[in-house]
Parts: sequence; C-alpha cells; structure tokens
Amino acid sequence: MQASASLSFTRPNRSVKPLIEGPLQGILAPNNPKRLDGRAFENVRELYVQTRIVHESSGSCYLQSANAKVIASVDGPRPNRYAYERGDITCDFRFAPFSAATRRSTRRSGEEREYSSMVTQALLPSLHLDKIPKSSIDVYISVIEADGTIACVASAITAASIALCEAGIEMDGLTVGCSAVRAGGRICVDCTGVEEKNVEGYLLLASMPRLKKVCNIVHVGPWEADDVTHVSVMEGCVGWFGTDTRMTWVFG
Amino acid sequence: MSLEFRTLQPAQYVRKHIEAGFRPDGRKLSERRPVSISSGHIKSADGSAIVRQGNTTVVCGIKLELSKPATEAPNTGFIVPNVTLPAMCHPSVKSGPPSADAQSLSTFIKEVIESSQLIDPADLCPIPSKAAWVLFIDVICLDHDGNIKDAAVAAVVASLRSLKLPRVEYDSDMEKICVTSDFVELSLRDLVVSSSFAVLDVGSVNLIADPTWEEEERVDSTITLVLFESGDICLTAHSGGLPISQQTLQSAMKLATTQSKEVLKALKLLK
Repeated sequence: MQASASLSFTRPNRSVKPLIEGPLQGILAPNNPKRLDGRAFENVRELYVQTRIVHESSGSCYLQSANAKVIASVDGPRPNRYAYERGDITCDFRFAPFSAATRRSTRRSGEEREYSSMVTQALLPSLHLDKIPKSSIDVYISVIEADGTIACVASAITAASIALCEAGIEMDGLTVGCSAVRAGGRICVDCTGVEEKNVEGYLLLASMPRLKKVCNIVHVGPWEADDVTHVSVMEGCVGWFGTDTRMTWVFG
Repeated sequence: MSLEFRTLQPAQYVRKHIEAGFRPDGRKLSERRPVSISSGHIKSADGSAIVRQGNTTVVCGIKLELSKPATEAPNTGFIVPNVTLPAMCHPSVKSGPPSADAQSLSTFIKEVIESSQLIDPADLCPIPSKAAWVLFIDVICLDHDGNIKDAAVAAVVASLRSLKLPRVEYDSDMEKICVTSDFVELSLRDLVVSSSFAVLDVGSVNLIADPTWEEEERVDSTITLVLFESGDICLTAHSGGLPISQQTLQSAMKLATTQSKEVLKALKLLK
C-alpha cells in the first residue's frame, strides 16, 4: 500500500447505486399463482411489536413486519399556549438513509412530509385531543428498514398509535394501518418492495378494528367498482390486531 | 424526596453520588454498562450494526455507491460518515438541521476512521481511474442516554466488519463497468474501541466511565480514548473546561485498556 494514497472523506460529485448483474427477482405477475414469500394474496406479514424502546419518551414502539422495521416515539403532551381548545399533534416521519435499496438523503424530502401528514390524518380520528387543551404532542417515526414504501407507512400508523397509547393519550381505540396494491387486475395486500414496483394503483387504509371504523383512506389509481379491496384490507387490519389478549400482552 | 432533588437540582444530585463513590444508577465510578452488538440484520443496507449500551441505542447502516475516482487520487475510494441525532432520541433534542453535537460526532467518526487506517484505500478502488466505491456510513441514535461516541464507534466498526463488497469487472472492449454478484468481505486492518470518561472535580478529580446523559450534562470535562486491539492509541479527544493532569490521563489509559477488552470480545463474536 503506497503511503501517498489515502481515503477521501469528501463526498464525490456524482455517485450511483451499483446495478448488480444476476438473476432478476420475480415481480408480481398476473399469472403467478403465489407470492414470492409464499403468502396468499390477501395475507399480511407476521408482526412483532415491542414497547418501551426509547427510555426518556412518553411512549415508544418498535414494530417489525417481516423485514420492515419502524420505530415510533411520542414526546408529550407538552405545554403549548397556542393550542386553545384541542391539543395539537405533529408527526415527523423519516426514512433512515440506509432503509431502502437506493440511499436516501439525510435532508427532509417532500415524500417524507407527505407521509408525515398521512400518518397525522390517520391518527386524528381516534384521539381525544379535546381532553388535552393547550398541549402539543410530537410523534417521531423513524423507518430503519423499509420493505414496501406504502406498507411501511401503514406500519408507521400502527406503531404511532401503539406509542400514543403507551404515552397515555386518551383514544377511542388502537388505529391499525394496512395497505394493498393493484397489479394486473389482481389485489395484493401488504406488499414488499419488490411487489410494489410497476403497480396500477395502491390503497392505504387506517382503521380501528375494535370499533370497525375507518379512520383514513388514501387511494391512488383506478379500481373496479365491485372490488373487494376495502374488505380485504380491513380484514388485514383485523388480522394484525388479533385478539385482545395479544395486545394486552404487549403492554403488560 | 430524592426524585424532587433529582429534578430540581440535578447537578447536586450527581455530585453527591460521585462524592460517595458511586453513581445514580448504582454503578461504581469505573464501571461501564454492558454492551450488546448485533450486525447484519438490516437487509436494505450493505453493512449494518445495532449497538445497545445500557439505554443508549445506536444503529449504523452502510450504503455502497459507485463513482469515478477523483483525478488527483485515482487509486482511492470515498468514505462519507454521518451521525444523526433525531428528535426522538431525547426530549432535549429538537428536530431541524444537524445540531453542533451531531456535527461534532460526525467529525469524530471521520477522524477515527482516518486515524486508525482501518481500511486500505486500494480495497475501495476496484478499477483505478474508472470505478471507486463510496461508502456512506450513516449512524442514527435511537435512544440517547449518554456516551454516543463509544456506541457509534462500536457500531461503525461492527458494520464495516459485516460489509461485503461486490466484485467489479471492467470490460475494456465495451468500456463498460460490470458489478458482479460475487461478494468479498472488506478486510479491516485492525479493530478499534472507544472508551469515554467524564471528569468531575469534587475536591479530588474523579474519572467516571461510560457516563449517562444525566452525568454527561453535569460534569466538567470529557475524555475519549480510542485504542487499537494492541493497546496503542488511535485517537484522544478532550472537551470541556477542566484542565486534566498527566496522572488523570494515565489512569484513563489504564482503565480504557482493560475495559476495551469486553467490547473487542463482542466485536469478534460477530463473525
């Protein structure tokens, strides 16, 4: 090794993600009878949830759904004299730079702002913010690994709701998020990153399975009028919510 | 009663404990928190590691990109380290552009990598003048309970050990760069471990190993020693207002040498 050669610590002007030559991964195709990971089209991934992750926060939650990993942390309620009748809630949704195949910048992007507002909208219906006037709550969501962007926003909604519950914010019920995509005339619930490529449209649904109510729907793309998507996705939410006992185990 | 004392007079709370010879969480002054390191679990990153040191949790992810080497350095690659302290890690941290703390941590990591010469620059330049690797090393602190430096260094070293570089070929006829799916581990020249101490003068100067957030905020100074596996010093950093005697520095060296063995053992178990 020559003594003169030393590493450069300044970022080069241009760098690109390496395209590795090798067998192409299978994409969701209309005539594929099964999904890559062996799930049925209407099945959601297994969920792992753990609370009390961040020690100084009011409430926090780590949620893992197969490869996707999300952490939500709640700070508050803090005094805020501008929030007169109802408490104010803000979500800060961030992707870690290493969370996706292509590295993301550390600067906040428009996409992250959009997802932040999607998560806020999804959480608002269930919270009793009028019980905490003159306060504000901050929800910080950090995506460590994203396997499917829309599925990851859905997981973020669930994680944020669990963290808010641990923080003691009064709510009607836990909000669970679930997503689906439409590709080649087929509906596929809770898609991974590979499955989300080249789709005709996607649906993100946040609901309170306990009360059987829908909190928020984000829908992009054309769908058939008699599609059973909404029902499948709702059932996805219920599947994740499970029984009372599973959720109380998380908090107990 | 002690909770009120802790909230209203935190500096006195910490001092009283140190004067008595132990710390608010019950540890002795020279005792470190147990460290747990796991690597390679983040599949979207090319190299990754998670380090837990008591409550302090730090995640490191490495992403690889390809670039043309600089014209003045055609045989070397690039490393771009970055440390983020997001608002979630502690109530005192506000969201927004990187704070002075975060920026100084990023510089610290860069200095550790540079000073330790962990990586052979030729390893990061598979095709001189044509293709060089850019290693984006991103460290995110998920939970801040003091002593991010030690955790960050351990996370960076562990994720570099888990990093696999694809083999790059150059087709001179077509003038095309091909990245194959043949992966080679990045070989590190050595291992480094960081040991931080807080220094508090309560009549006598006390070295407090592996300070928590509460202790870090209320001490006079901090010393960080980054040591190689052999015990040689890679880097020394001292910040804060208290001048330190040679004696204190020697004690810190001795403690650091003994204590770094535990982290080295954890790093070696990863492979």
